[in-house]
Amino acid sequence: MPDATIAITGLKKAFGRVQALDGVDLTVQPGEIYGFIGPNGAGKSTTIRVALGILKADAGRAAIFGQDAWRDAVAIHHRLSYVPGDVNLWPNLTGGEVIDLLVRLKKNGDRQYRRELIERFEFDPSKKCDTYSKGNRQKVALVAAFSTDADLYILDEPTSGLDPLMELVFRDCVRKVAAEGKTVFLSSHILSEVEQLCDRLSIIRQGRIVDTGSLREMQHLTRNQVHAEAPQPLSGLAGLPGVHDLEVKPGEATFRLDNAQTATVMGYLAAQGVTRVVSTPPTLEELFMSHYGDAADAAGSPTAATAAVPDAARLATQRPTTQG
Amino acid sequence: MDTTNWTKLLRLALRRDRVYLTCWIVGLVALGTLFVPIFPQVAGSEAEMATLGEMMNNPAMVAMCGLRYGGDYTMAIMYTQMMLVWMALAFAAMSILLVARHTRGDEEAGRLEVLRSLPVGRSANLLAVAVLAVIANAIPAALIGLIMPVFQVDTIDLPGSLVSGAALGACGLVFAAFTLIVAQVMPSSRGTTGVAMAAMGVAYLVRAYGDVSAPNVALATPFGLIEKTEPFYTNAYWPVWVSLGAAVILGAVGLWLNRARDLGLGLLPQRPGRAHAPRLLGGELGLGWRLIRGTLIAWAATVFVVAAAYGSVMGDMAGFIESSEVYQQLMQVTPGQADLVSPIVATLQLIMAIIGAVPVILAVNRLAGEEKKGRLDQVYGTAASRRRLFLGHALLAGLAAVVMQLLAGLGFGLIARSAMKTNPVDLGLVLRVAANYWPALLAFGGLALCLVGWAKRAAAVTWAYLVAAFLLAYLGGMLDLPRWAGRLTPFGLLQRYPVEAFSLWPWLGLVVAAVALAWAGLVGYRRRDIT
Ligand SMILES: Nc1ncnc2c1ncn2[C@@H]1O[C@H](COP(=O)(O)OP(=O)(O)O)[C@@H](O)[C@H]1O
Ligand SMILES: [Mg+2]
Repeated sequence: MPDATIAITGLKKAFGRVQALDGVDLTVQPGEIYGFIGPNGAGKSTTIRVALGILKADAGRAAIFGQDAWRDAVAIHHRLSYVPGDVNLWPNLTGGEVIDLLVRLKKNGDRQYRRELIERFEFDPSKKCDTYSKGNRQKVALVAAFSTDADLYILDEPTSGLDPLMELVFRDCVRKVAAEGKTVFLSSHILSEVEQLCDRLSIIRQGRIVDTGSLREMQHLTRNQVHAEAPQPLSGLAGLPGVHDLEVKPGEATFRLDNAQTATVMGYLAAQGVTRVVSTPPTLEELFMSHYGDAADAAGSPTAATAAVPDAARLATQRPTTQG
Repeated sequence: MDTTNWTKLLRLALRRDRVYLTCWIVGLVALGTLFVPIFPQVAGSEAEMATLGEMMNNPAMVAMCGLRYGGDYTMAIMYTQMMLVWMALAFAAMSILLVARHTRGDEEAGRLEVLRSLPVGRSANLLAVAVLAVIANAIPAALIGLIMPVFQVDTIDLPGSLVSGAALGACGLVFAAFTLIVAQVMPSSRGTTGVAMAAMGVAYLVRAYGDVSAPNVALATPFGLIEKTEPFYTNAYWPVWVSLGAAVILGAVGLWLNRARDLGLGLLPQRPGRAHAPRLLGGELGLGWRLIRGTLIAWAATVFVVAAAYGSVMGDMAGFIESSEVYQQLMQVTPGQADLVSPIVATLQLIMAIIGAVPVILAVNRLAGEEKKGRLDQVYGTAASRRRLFLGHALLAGLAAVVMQLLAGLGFGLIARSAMKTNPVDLGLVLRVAANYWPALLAFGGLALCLVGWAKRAAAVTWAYLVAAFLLAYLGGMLDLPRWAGRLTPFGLLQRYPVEAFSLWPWLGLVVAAVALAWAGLVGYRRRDIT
């Protein structure tokens, strides 16, 4: 088996008394689009900056392409592209100059594709960077990253500040490199982005990975939302195992169901002469909230979250689409 | 013109800027008054004053400082000649920065947009800024006028001080009002500050030219105009009124232009820059050069102009030194010494070398500054190496040291040669003196590099050390300090060539020390976090 593209084990990093990373483990295989989600301050950027050799780990190991992230940083970086979470540009340089500079520091840019990207992102490269909005600064970093040829793309909250149309362009870029077999590591606190793009993901919270897996694997951790209608009363659901947050009205019931108890509950519903069942898989929003919704339980057992999460989850994770 | 609620905006601005403005005001007042008690120590007797008056009438000094006016050269007139224009520059800079900050600066930060959504008049902010500028200029102007006479220095009286202060405040207001217009026209906040500052520099240079050879030209600049107040001589107020009138007209034009302008945009469209980077901007060294290019060019020009000014006084200097005991001490000349030129060259080149160390340190510290502003993340995310970026900055700093010393030697030597009618100084000698001090600049660069590697927050240490070196070099002779005290800085470790014989060992030793410090810095830089 070839080296994992990113292999991080037991990574720890403290800033003074703030323990930013407290034992992060992560493996990204070649060709994956890997999501890395967590709330602000969870340690996403810190993990990435250690993996890039910008920060030095206190403990643990970070390797990219099988090489040591700290020692072999320059060699590794010839083969990767990075979009930082905070794009700060030089006010007296134009966007085009910064793109060229960043590309030249890697020495393998594609001028043709650069032009195409600038067009698709509707970006004006001849303005000084101090006049760019947050979204435009982000475009500088994105164009620079995607117009160089790389085996791995590390993107730290790359769509912040982009408007929805530009997000589509961004997604196209990611899918294009993915189709070429490149690896993409995408950090985000916006779930639908990860949901739309990623094969596998890790969830980080307070410097620890609290869950890892494919979207499908992770869905077993939570419960489907079930809506059932039947001519006979459904109040008996209350006594069944695996049923939560039950609401019974005449002729219908809504509840959340542990997947393991599906057979039992469906048997009961059939016996009541059920006429309609709608079962909705949890969105990533709900999955996310089952980790973070209840702070006390989240780190230990994700399934222990019992609060009436969905509504809160939807509210809390409404996407902030455009800012600036 | 709708200025609804402008008083509330003014109050907000005053509140926001209470620290910023206080610092400026205290700084301006200190700069404008604290040298008053020191001046009498430079020259005492009337004969000395007369000689000084001769020397200060030299074209280079007039160009650099200002007009020498009046009959007898009094302490007050000397003070005004040396300080008025420079203080006016400081007032102008304060006004420009203040106005730019509260107009386009606030617009770019999005703060004005929030305010505009409230019941606030379209011109309210501009009016508030104008009044803020009046306050910011009037307070230090009045304080300077009132404090200068307090030191009871001979000939520095209240009426002259008041007109000095008024002239400074009026000059500041002209630039504040001018910046109000620039802020309407320029496409960005940086452009606003840049153009207004450039105009200030041009006004200074035009005045310099005019004062030397075309008085009417000088009068057309704010600086030349206020020189005509002739404090402590005619105490004329008409230049103050003319300045204030000009400020009112410029301010009115600014308010008028503001009515039709879109928030965040200037009347001039943004001029497109390069869509592609020039060939030079690539790689670690190219990036480093681009980052410090502007700083180095500005300092190179400064060093050359100051060196030329020093050079131009060489002709009168020897005679003057013979008659001034204080200057003999300052320049560390032994009375009766046959060769009066060598010690002057050594001392003036030492001062030049200390000035030249500033851009060297700035070039190094830029590396830490970039890191602090979070701009190195994306650079180190590429294949840029820490070693190459660090060494690139070190190389540029070393080259800057060479260029600064070369310009200090050339500027001084060339001008001095033409100013000295008898026994002109040898250019080769001056260049050798400059070369003698070069390792000291390297040592300061090395210290700064070491701190970037190991203690990036301690950059102030290098500056404090340089200031100490300056004080030791400049005042060491006057204070009769022991020899070892002078040896505490790189400059003191070197021989006082050409007064003392050149010695290779301290020279080489400093070069080696600088390289060792830089190397130590690199070791630290490669093993620490970039945050
Ligand atoms: N340079 C730094 N100095 C001090 N604390 C930091 C620094 N960088 C990050 N932190 C802290 O580390 C934690 C993780 O931050 P970060 O990795 O930026 O989170 P995320 O990218 O997930 O929002 C936060 O508590 C943050 O305040
Ligand atoms: Mg982050």
